[in-house]
Amino acid sequence: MNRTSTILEIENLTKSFGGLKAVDGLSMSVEKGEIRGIIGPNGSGKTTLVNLITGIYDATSGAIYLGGERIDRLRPHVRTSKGIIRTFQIPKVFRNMTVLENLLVPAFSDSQGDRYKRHKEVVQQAQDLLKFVQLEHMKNELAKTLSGGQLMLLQIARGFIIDPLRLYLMDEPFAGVNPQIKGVIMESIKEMNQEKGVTFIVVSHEMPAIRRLCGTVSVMHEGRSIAEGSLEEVANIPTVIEAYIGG
Amino acid sequence: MIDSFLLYQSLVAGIVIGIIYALMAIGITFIYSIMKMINWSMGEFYMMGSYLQYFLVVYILGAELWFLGIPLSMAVIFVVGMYIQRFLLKPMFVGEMERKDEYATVITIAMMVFFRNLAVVLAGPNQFCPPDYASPTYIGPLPVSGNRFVALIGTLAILGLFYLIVKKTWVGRALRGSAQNRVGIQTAGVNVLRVDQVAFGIGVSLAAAAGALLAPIFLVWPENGAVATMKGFEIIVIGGLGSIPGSLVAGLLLGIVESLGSVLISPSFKDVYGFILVLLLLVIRPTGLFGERQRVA
Repeated sequence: MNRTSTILEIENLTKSFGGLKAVDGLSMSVEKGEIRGIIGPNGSGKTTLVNLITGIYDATSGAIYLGGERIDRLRPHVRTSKGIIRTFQIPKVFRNMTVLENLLVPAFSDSQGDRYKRHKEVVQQAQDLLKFVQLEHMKNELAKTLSGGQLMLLQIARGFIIDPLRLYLMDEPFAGVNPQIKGVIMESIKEMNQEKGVTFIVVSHEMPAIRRLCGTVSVMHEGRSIAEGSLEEVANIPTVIEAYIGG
Repeated sequence: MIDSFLLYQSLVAGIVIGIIYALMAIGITFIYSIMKMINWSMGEFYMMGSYLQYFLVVYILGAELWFLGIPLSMAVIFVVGMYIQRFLLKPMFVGEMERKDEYATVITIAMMVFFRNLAVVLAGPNQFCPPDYASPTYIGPLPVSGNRFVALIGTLAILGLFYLIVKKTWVGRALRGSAQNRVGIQTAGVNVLRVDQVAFGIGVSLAAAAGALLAPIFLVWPENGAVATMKGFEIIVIGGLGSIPGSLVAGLLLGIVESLGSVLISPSFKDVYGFILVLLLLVIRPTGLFGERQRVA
């Protein structure tokens, strides 16, 4: 795994909503193959940052580079075609489609070129991914019949089918999920990272999960990155403690 | 005492007209479900479809080839719709993913005024009638107008094709995905602006098909789309906004209620029966028969 080159570079990124700066001059870089954790109190701008990287929001100022290529002016589906995938805290699945169909939507989307020519192979790949996240037995069920945790698994598997997959952003993947599914999510992140070299950014309040997964965490507060390092390191920084206890 | 033969006949007439009404409503609800905007100029696409059909049958194809006029009218309006979406409606979604509903309302109402007046300028205020598509026929023992029978069969064929496209193709999957989760579909790599374009094209081509199929029955004139639009919106309220099965069922219901009301009470109040149905639905089930409560999340 190549950890020497930067996959994501964020320069002086700002996002304002009226008078509120949700992200305020944030700079950050993430190395290829890393699993980066992003933590911070509620309202610190974590989800806004994910929305900016994936194109859900346009930045007010600043720049975002993926592998050296500037991407902050691209539309969301173009960013997906460059290999940026995300999950949402409230899973945004296609509720009236089957579980398998949910994976086939991105598999044959505009971002995937002429993949439709390998139809059978891609359908098999989708089924393998469902097996990977332990949802294979529900492949023909409508997504709306799934539990909250299963919806999260489905959402995660939907991202894994994108090719190429370079940077996977997960927004609170463990929120409201039972321990067994939490374990499946953690294992799938580790496996995709180690075997396919996928870079992950995991936004979460679940410190045990962050500790197990992430070598480096960035702490956000009031739209800025206030600390970076291992979870143990940042936990002892006074500004981080102050941000969490609201000093 | 009402003659049962007359009752059955009006029931069949109601079913026939109801399914054709539904075509228009499905066009409106299809565009709404994907773009989350109401196309107030839907009737004008119906009107353009009827004019195109008249022009093709009378001046180019001839009366025998009337059936070719319907797919041709649909294809022309599909392309026109795609371009209108691209140049007039796309700005609604450009920039951040915030919809500008008022923008779509102003643009589509302006299109309604423009196309109606364009029809007056190009073809005058007169009514035109293409040659009959077929002579009177029977459904079982019941006589039915040939034009209405053709419109019924044509509508069923178009709805069948529409179902196949939406359910069985990759484009259809992207269309359904956009309707179910507009943000999710973009992060799944689908160009939602292109999906919008295709959806608008398909939606208005359904209206054009209704206009072309009904041209010999309701005639061709600049404001012939107004009634069809009104029926379309009534159906949407009854069936539930955004529900395609709802539009189909509500279309049938409206057609039957209008038809039976005309026989059992008086044909003078035909349009009133539909409105009573709409009012009843709004009181009993405001979301419509198949409508779901909006989830905000």
